[in-house]
Amino acid sequence: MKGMNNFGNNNRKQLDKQFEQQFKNKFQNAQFAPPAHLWEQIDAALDAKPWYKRPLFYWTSGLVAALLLVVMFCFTLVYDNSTTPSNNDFVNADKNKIENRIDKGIKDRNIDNSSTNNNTELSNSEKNTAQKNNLTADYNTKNFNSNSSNSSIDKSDNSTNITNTNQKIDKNDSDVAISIALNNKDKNKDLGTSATDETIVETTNTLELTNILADIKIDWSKYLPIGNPHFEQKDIFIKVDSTNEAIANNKNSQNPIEDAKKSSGIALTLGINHTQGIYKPSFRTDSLHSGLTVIEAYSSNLADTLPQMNISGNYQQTGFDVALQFGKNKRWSFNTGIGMGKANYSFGSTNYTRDTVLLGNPLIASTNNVEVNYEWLQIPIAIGYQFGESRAKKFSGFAQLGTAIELLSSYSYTSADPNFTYALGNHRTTNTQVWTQAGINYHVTNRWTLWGGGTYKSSLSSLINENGVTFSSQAYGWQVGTRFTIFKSGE
Amino acid sequence: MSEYSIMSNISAHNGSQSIENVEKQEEEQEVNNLDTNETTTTRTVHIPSSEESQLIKDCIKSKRQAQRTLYEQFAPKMYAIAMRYAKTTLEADDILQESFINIFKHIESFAQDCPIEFWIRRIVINQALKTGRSKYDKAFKEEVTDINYNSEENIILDQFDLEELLQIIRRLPDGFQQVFNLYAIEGYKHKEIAELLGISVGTSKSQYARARAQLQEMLLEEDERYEQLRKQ
Repeated sequence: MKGMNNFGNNNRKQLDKQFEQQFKNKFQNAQFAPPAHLWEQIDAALDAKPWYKRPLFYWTSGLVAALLLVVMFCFTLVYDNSTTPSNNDFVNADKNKIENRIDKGIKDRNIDNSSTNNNTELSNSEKNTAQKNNLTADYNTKNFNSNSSNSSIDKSDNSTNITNTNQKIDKNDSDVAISIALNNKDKNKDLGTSATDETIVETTNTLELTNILADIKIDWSKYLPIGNPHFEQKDIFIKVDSTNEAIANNKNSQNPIEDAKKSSGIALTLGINHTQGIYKPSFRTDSLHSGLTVIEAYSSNLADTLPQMNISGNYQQTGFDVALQFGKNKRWSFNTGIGMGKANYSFGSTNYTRDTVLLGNPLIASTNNVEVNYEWLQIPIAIGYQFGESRAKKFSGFAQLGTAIELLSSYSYTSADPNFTYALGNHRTTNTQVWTQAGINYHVTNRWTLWGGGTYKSSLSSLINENGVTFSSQAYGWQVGTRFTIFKSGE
Repeated sequence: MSEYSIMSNISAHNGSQSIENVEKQEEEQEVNNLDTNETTTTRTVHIPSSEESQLIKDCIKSKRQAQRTLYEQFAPKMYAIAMRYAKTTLEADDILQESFINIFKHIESFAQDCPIEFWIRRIVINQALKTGRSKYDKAFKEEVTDINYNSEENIILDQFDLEELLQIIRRLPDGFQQVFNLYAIEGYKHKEIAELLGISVGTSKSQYARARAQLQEMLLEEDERYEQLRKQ
């Protein structure tokens, strides 16, 4: 039996070898004529350029960037020309307020101290005590528009002159010492070294000064929107008294200095947004694929047709956003968040089938309509810039540029033809998009903003993992949202 | 007797043999072949003809006419290869198209140390494997039910034309088709197939044995069907 088995094995082996050899002989030099259109497709594919070499990509990107730059430039230009006040504007506008307040302080002081303080020379210690009788007015201009040297206070022969450029405020009273804090350079300089010999005393150490005489309400915004570099330099406050009671009374009052502080540092905002727009897929075939891998089951010509088809659909997205504002006047921001989006598009196609059992059979054409649906989770990462603000401080513009990472959560399609299977390669689950956004903020309150604008995003690489086929998408639309500032430094 | 005349090209044999025995014999044969190769290694230096050289140079320069000439020269043969690996004609179109695009894009890397046909053939086979990878990767992971092929019949393929054989090969399950093509027709060793497909040598052997057994069964069935048709 063993011998029989060996004989059988050897025989089997021989038969298998013969079998293989027959196949080999049959197919070794076999030839089949490829379809005539195949060369044309190869020819077209060899001419195709990768996406990053396509002029359209550069034109689109360049156009968007240029548009943003122009908008930002225009805002800045308009704002600089129309809202930056001259020194004269500033002084003229609020001169009366300052004058009236100083007059009032002088009168009050004269009533209280008329007998004891005439012709009294101020000393450092006296000035810094709360009960000092001298009347101190602090005309703080903090490096006033880089023209501080134009500001002067002349005090001589019992007269005090406040001069700012060509504006003069004359006070014919004897015991008035006026301090000017020009900038932050000299905190420790004595206040009013002498009422008779030094007319300008520089200090910013307002704690050393007596309390604020008056909260002069100057509407800075009508000259200086947030972000204007002059904003911080236009703070004025006058100090004429130093009683604890007055200090306490004024602690909670708002003054321009606080507003100035708000314009720098960091802020954190949270918001929600909604986008509604148009989704435009585009198919590019470096090589025009036949259907099986591009459009499963059906034919080559759908892939040929798709690039020429003007397919567009709808997309919408709702999400939360977080922004960390930073930089001078918090103009810059780092933006991120999370959003849920969905898109759909449909197209009609002529599909071709061929009986694969019998070679050489002609293609059979049939029409079909396919609707494709996507859903994704999006994480945007962008740098934003806020620019321009209206005189009323209610409106400002913004622009953002960055990427949006999309995580595909669902992909489905419906087809009029139940036998149609649409498999556009393997969809990548993670896609990166270049994303830009621009719009207008409406500041309802200091911390609450409504905004609206436009957005555009374009995929950076093919959304499908299919050699030779690029399926990219572009989306543009309108956005609305609201943001709340939950933290601001310095407050 | 008439039925025997129809079956004349299929001669019956006694006895049966398990797939394991077949695999063992093939393994021994491969080892013997390797030993033989080690002792009688001869290296053939390929010197391309001047026409072929010029054609390649022109293709490197992306001259479209040269590319077309190269395509027309080799496309029919390569299409036949693509047809063997593909499940459908449309898939074969894809394979051929992608292959030639790759050929033209990378032709400067062809070292000209072998006939260009070999190089092109290798690209087509690689492309075919790449195209079907997702399908056969899945197939290799699945449990395959054993095929009991007990017949000891010498199957003569002359009665089948090329297209019929092609359709029969295409009816092989994913994985079987690739391994059979690579081993029986391209002449790859199981070790090479294992590397190409990312599977073990053992898997390659068992897949091949099963593929062959299934093919033999299908051919016999076809033959019987043909016989019945003849009777009618």
